Amino acid sequence: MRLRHTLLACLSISLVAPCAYAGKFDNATGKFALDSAYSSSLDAPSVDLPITAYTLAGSAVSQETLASRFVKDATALEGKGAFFVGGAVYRVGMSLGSLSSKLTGRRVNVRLWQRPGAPGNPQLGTQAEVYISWLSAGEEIATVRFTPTGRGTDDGFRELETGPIDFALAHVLAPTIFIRDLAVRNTTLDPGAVFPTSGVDARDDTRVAIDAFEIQDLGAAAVPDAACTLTNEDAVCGASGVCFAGKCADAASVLGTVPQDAEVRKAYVDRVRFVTRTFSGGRYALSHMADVDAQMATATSFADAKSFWKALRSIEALRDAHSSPVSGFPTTAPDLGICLGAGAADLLPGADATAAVPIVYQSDAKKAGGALVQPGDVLTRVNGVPVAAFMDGAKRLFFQPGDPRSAAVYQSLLLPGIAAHTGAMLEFARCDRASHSTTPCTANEVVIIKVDAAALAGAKIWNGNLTTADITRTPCDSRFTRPIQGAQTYEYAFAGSVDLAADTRLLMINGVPAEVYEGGPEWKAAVQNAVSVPRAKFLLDEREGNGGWSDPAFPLLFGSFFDGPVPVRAELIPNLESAQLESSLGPMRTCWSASSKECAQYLQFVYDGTGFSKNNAASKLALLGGLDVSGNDYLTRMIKTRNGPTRLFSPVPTMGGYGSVMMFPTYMVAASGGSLQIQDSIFTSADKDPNRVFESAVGVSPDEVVLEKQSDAINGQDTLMNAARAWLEAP
Amino acid sequence: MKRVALFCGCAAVMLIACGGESSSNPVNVANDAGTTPRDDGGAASTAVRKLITVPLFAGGDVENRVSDPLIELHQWFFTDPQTGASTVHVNRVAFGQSPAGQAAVFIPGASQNARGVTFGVTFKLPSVAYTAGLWVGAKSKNVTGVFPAVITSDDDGTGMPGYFELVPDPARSDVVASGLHWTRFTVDADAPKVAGWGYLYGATDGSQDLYVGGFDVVTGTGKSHMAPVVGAGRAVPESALRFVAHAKAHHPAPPRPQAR
Repeated sequence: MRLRHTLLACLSISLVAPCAYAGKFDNATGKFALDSAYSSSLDAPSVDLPITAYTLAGSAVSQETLASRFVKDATALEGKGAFFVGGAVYRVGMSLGSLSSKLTGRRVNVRLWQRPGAPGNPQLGTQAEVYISWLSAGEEIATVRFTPTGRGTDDGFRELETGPIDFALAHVLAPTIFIRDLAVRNTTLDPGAVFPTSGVDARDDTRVAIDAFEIQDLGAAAVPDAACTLTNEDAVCGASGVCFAGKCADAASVLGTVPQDAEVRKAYVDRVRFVTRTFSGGRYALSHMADVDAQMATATSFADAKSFWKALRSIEALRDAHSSPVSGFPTTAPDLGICLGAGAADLLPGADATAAVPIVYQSDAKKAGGALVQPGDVLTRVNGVPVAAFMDGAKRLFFQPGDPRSAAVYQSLLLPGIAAHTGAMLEFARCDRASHSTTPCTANEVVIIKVDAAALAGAKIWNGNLTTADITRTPCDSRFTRPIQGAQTYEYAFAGSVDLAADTRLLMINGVPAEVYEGGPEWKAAVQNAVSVPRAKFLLDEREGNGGWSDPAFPLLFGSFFDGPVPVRAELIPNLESAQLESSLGPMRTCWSASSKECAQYLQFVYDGTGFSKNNAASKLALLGGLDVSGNDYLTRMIKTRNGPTRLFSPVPTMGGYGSVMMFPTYMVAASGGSLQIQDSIFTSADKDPNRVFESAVGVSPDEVVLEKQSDAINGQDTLMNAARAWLEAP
Repeated sequence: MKRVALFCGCAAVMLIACGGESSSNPVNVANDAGTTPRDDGGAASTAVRKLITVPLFAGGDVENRVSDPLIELHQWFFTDPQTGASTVHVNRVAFGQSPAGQAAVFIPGASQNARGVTFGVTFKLPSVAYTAGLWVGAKSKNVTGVFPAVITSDDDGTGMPGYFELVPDPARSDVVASGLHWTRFTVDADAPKVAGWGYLYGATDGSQDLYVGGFDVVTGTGKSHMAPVVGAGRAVPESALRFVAHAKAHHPAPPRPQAR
């Protein structure tokens, strides 16, 4: 999760006063003395550096309240008191901007200590999460979490640090320290919690003491003050740098820090490897686990962020559609206002009209990049090299889960963001629209449009004139057109239908949410409504199918479109270490049959036709695919077994995620603990069915591969929709 | 519902040297056989504060390594025992609260939770015999009113959940730390025949304020195996039935293919 901070209109109290302490723990007195380039005892407010604070609800904390949190405390680690966070002081921001003149161009390590407990009552404790973040115009651009150093005291103080890091991001942005009460994280009170695990009281009386703040000067910055592109970042930015928004930046700030202690690093990497080996359930993944594990193990030897995080991303080779690697915080860059999709360049001279290339699907003329391009423009080069070569070099910026054959759609969607975050130069090719709306142009007629992301987007970060509108993402997905309009149609839980003709109905969904999900009841009602009436021809547009759960989607849709029992059932089967499939499958089936609940994470999606209305069992059903995963993998895979005429139109296969996702805890240097699929699926008709083919990592291939034609795009025609409707209309 | 992926334990000590400071009084957080009792009461102590080394991981075999104990607690769930609602009164508190150094959760008693609180966390079952443990703390010496158990999804391949009640370990009762009296609850469990998933599951009865934390599962302990309380052909005590029924009613729903 990320926090959004606004530094404007907030209380300003300064608390850090550079001091000169003796920098050692005194065994005789039990006190810590500071001795760093800059330090603060946090005994009292200071005028040197401003501090802002907010309540959980986001209101600014009053000056009186904030001042009262500097408390004299005989048990303080250093000095005569400490600063107490918690309760009404939920989140604290401490700007280090006043240190810019002294520390820009320097490499530093920022440290502080915390101890849970209220003054005089150690049992009313909470804990602080501490981050260092680089802001531009109040927006977080990059963020890194403080991590434990391993030092503590026997009365509960623990030390946290950033680890070695360049003070200023790209020699421009000074950092801010954020301290947040951890008590509500991932609870029902946490606005950033995706799946809250519990409720918790918003108690006002829990506290954590913050003490002994210091910034150690480690020498010159590791990364040069230089302009760059992703293509030349190794040469220009060096081993410690990455290219961010057109400038070299410390990789530790952009990607995440790395444990510098070799033993700690090995312990962390070993734990990530263990989690990966233990919880992976995809059989393709397991068959490639040894190689992937060996690649991940190499992270142990890398103290630099680029190599370390790259090694941990090697789980991509597992082809687990539910996987995501452990990773640092995402960075923020302006949106270019360009939506790309997989297309066919049928108007460019010499282009292979059957090969998928990124073409402009939509553009937002209000944004600098979007104002330069038009639907149908073809992205041909990035940073002067072909798109494929650029993406090969951009692997640290994206992660391709699942069936790699889905890359053309997935990576096209990601590409504008990658360009913005690195400051890339995009080159689009366009033919004259008046004379070449349907026929290819000649080489001399091709117009090249250049979009300089560093100048148009990156500069706003470095110049400090970024606006909220700049970072608001243009809604993009894998649809070229949307028969149902509106911002709500981009929501995960959207479902809607419209009759395209008297005998033709289109049902548009973006996922298959469970009823308990937000928007789930509305989704169910919309789908019920859509299939409640018979139509001879149906289109199911799931081109943005982000998964979900079997109920209510499968019973509703299968009940309408099947003429009886669904011929196959999905069996979700975990990987049980040391257990043979045949010997464990029987007990798991027995267990599931007895309880209809998961047994050791084994479960079935089975539909025997009970309650089916069958009202559209004979309809021609066109499935429109694009970016489909998980629940939409199952939906596509199973609905294609119906007896009625059914055909899948898509530029690429589905992603092949047949199982459940488990998200893992975050700890140490990661902001995300990653995720994995914990089962794989076979599709069987009954227990006696001998099929044992696990299908994850291989998605459902389209019956008809359809790319958005450049010629259709400039004429506003949706090639995929047209192909599906042509089939529906054919006798 | 976020599912939990914890497979943890304490098998050995790994002391991390940092900044050249040496540990003058390392807390043996990883030694599950016991910790050095202390009573600092959390208040200003007459004893001089000592610098210690805090293990970031418990070390030993990676399979038994404790992940960040603080993060563990963020995978726990707490619910009303009767309604299953997650609006009960609990409060996560400091690391270092339990004698083994892990975070603990403060569960208020009758003043706020007259019916008590059910709590739990999911973990992946090892395929070998294991010992599960949990620290429970109270302000008084009598750590009562808590009923922790490990419930397996299918212990013997029959579809019957296994139930293993954690009981106080006499050797680690009334360990004083952070001003609280702590008792280690443990159970030795057989290797499950279906090595799927387990749930730490417990309840408080609201009779007093309690702290719980430091749950771990340790393999390779070499201890004798105990039969699960619930299983085919075994006697079923009333308390076990209550827990199993509760588990079936309230244990986390199966992990779902989530929206990406």
